[in-house]
Amino acid sequence: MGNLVLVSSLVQAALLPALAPLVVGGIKLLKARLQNRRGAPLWQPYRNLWKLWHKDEVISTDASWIFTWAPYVMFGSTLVVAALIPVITLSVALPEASDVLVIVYAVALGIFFMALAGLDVGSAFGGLGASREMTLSALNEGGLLFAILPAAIATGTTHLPTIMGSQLELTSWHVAPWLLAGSAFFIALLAENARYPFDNPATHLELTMVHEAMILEYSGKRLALLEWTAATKLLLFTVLGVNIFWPGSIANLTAPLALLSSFLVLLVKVAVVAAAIAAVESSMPKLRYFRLPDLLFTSFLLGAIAIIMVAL
Amino acid sequence: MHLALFCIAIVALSLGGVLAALLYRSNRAAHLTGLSASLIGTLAAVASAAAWWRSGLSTTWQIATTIPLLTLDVHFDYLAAFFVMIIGTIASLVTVYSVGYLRQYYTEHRLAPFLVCYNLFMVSMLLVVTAGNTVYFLLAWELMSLTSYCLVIFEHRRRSTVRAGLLYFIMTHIATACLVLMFVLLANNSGSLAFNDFHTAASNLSPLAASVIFLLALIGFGTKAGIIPLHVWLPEAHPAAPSSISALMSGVMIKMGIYMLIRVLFEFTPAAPLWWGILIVAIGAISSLLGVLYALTEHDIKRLLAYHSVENIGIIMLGIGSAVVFLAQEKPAIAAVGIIASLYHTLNHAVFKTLLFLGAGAVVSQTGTTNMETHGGLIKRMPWTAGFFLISSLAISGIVPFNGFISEWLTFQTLLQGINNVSGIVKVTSLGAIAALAFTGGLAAACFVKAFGITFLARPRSVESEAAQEVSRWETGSMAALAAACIALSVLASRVLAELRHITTLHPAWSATVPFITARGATLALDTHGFSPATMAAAVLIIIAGVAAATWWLTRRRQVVFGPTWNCGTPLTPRMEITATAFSRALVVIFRGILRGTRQTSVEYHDARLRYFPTTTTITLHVPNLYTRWMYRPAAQALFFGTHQLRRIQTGNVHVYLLYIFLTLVGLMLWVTWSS
Repeated sequence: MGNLVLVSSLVQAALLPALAPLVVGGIKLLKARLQNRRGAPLWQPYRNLWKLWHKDEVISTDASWIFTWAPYVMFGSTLVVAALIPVITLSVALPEASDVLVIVYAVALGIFFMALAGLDVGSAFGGLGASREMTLSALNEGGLLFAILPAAIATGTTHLPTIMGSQLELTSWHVAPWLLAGSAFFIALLAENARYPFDNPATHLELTMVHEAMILEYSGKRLALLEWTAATKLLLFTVLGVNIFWPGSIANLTAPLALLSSFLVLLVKVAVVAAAIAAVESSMPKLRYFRLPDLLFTSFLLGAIAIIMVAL
Repeated sequence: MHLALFCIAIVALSLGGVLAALLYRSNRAAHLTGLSASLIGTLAAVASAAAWWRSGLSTTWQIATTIPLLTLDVHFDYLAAFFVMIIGTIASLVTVYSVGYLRQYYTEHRLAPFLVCYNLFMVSMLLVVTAGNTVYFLLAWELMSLTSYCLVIFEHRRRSTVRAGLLYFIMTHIATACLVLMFVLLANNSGSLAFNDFHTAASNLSPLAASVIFLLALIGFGTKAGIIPLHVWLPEAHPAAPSSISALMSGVMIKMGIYMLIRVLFEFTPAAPLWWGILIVAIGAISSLLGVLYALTEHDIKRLLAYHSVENIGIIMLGIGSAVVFLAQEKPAIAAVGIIASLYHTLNHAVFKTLLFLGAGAVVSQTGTTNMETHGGLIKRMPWTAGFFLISSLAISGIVPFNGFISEWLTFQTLLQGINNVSGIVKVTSLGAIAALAFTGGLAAACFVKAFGITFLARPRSVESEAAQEVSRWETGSMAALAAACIALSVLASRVLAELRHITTLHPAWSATVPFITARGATLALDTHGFSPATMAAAVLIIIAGVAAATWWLTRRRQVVFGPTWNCGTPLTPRMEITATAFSRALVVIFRGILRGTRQTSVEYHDARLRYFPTTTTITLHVPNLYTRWMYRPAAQALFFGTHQLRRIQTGNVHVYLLYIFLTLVGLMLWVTWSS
């Protein structure tokens, strides 16, 4: 039994990075179809990563060790978070560090280094991208935390497996706060992963870019790591949201069959969220930069209202 | 044992001051003797606190003096020993740093007066936290204010420094006035000047007197700590002082306010009503959020750090305030978590803020300016300083896996308990405080990406930055120790917190062991689910190292080519880089309702009529100091107006003065008749 727990927790930690490119490919494909294009095949992101991984790279002469280490820190911190959240089973690899606040501030570690890497090469793009990213993420931190806190307050702990475990019963969870916190989380997810209406993930060299501006100087294996990080982060937030706000699929035990069914149900749910993201990106313009704080404050306020409803 | 060591500390420090004064002719001799004495003294202080901690029995050592009212009560308990340890550790590391740092003043300044004040400053802080008697305490407190004032105006040839010093002098004495009044009220109640008697007589205090004492303490100690709106001296005094002094003031001295506030709240007036706690939490939330917002508007690195002290004092106040709230509601276990959170943040802030100021001091000593807009590219010229500054930046932003995160985590946990509270007002306050804390964390990260990125990364923006070199081994060594402490205080957090639980014996409602926060092995359990800071830190560090090693091994055959940064074909100059002002401009615009930033544009055209081709465009961005404008200037004007009006009674005519005496007499007689 102990071995099975260990294996299943390791498998679920590896699941997110392994499947992440697939989700990105799916969103791209769906967007293409919605725009009457044929689009690249589903596994195109894997091919891109493979290609980038095998290329030589160019590094700016202005860059310091911050630039060379930032991809490792970002990918590493994302892997840590992936190991902390329950995906298909509640027994995570590091249960004594699986905490809502740890996740929010471990993600912040990656963002911090990405912004520094943007500044490090001293180009006009990188600095502006870093400034925009830190502005958005500073304002998003409240929204992200307040979207998860209603669940934490309802269950009385910030321990993530406990929160997700108690969601199975759905007793402490009412429709209105659930809806509000869920929408707050969706907005925070879009902001955190540089999706529409915050950022355009498909653009380069546009004056509005945020995430792409910071990683403009990267190439080769480091760019591959960064792309992989971005994909993993998207899937990670999707799974986090699904398991908190759309509970029921997660397995309480580690029987292989239960894990498999839990995995299949999760895949369907992730596909639905990915379709929602694709729909948003095909039907909505990117917002003007100074309109974005309004949206982020909306997410924060929705979370705050949900907290008040839960706590009262 | 601990008393002997404590005496050695005080004597060594004082003697160091005297020797430095005697050797005033030679800067080098004064420098080395003064600092060796302070190193011995501070290490002895750490040893005395550690020796006391192992015995753990509250002791008061009294020496009667011939001066009326003055007895020297050296009082040791867990709270005092904790602060002695902070003072001793931080001051000894700053002393090591000063061995290298003060050399730059050899040619133009006399170091002896500085070293006298430096040593006396440490003596005064050690006396403040161990004082057990009012008059003795006030003398030590005043010595601390005066010596720190002298240290702030060390570079007194600059006009701005003297002005900043004057502001500090005035603010600290307004605070002391409030404290004298507070002690008069306390002594009036207990009939004694000893702190122990304040504690035993606390139950006799009327609610009104207790509230007045609380408000006076909040103003008096809050000014020293730097809560908003009493923070105005911090951003002026810190940049004016030499960086080792800014580090000591920000890392240690402002905590003296926190120390006494805790003592007053939990020992002198233990029956605190709910609204005190709510007020402290509100002040903490406002200070933390506004502190970080003002920090974002700065491009002077030391002013930026000074505003972050305001922010962190706010976070400490959140913990203290929620402790008061929960004690008032008779939930001592949760209250204990709040006070432990605030104490741990006090310790963490002492470590990383000292490191930040020392790093900034190293940068300023090399570039000659605190203006970040002229820094840049220093990571290649000062690699060690850059690395240590980065660690402290991550720690102060509350980012995993550094020590700032652990204390913020505890503060969050305490406030979350407030949301599930029965009282509506507590719920609302806790919600607001959590929101403030969440945004503070994000904004602090943004501010430190700016502080680190603009100062250390990309290309140098000035000739001075281009020519900067790494500072001496003394300085980097001291910073290395502090950086190691940032990581150690995260990995070993459970052990440290288990020790900190002893401090909660301060309040009668807290028993010696608090069940709510337990440390089992390396795991910290607030509820049934343990949280292990050590696991978290180890996981982050190992996985990042693993990713780096795996990538390196798998791609070791791949080539790396170095080339210039791509810049659309335009020449790469430092002006292509983003500036500190531009970096945070968006946030200043978004929070314009609070910051009230102004922008003036003046354009000159080639042709005044056509107005197509400008020759020069000047944009002046300004963030006004609202506190000076709306609070301090009106207060000063009212004071001048009042004193001006009072002068009217001084006519210089003897008959009028006789009339005053007569009227006073009549008035007194009437008062006596009526009151009896």
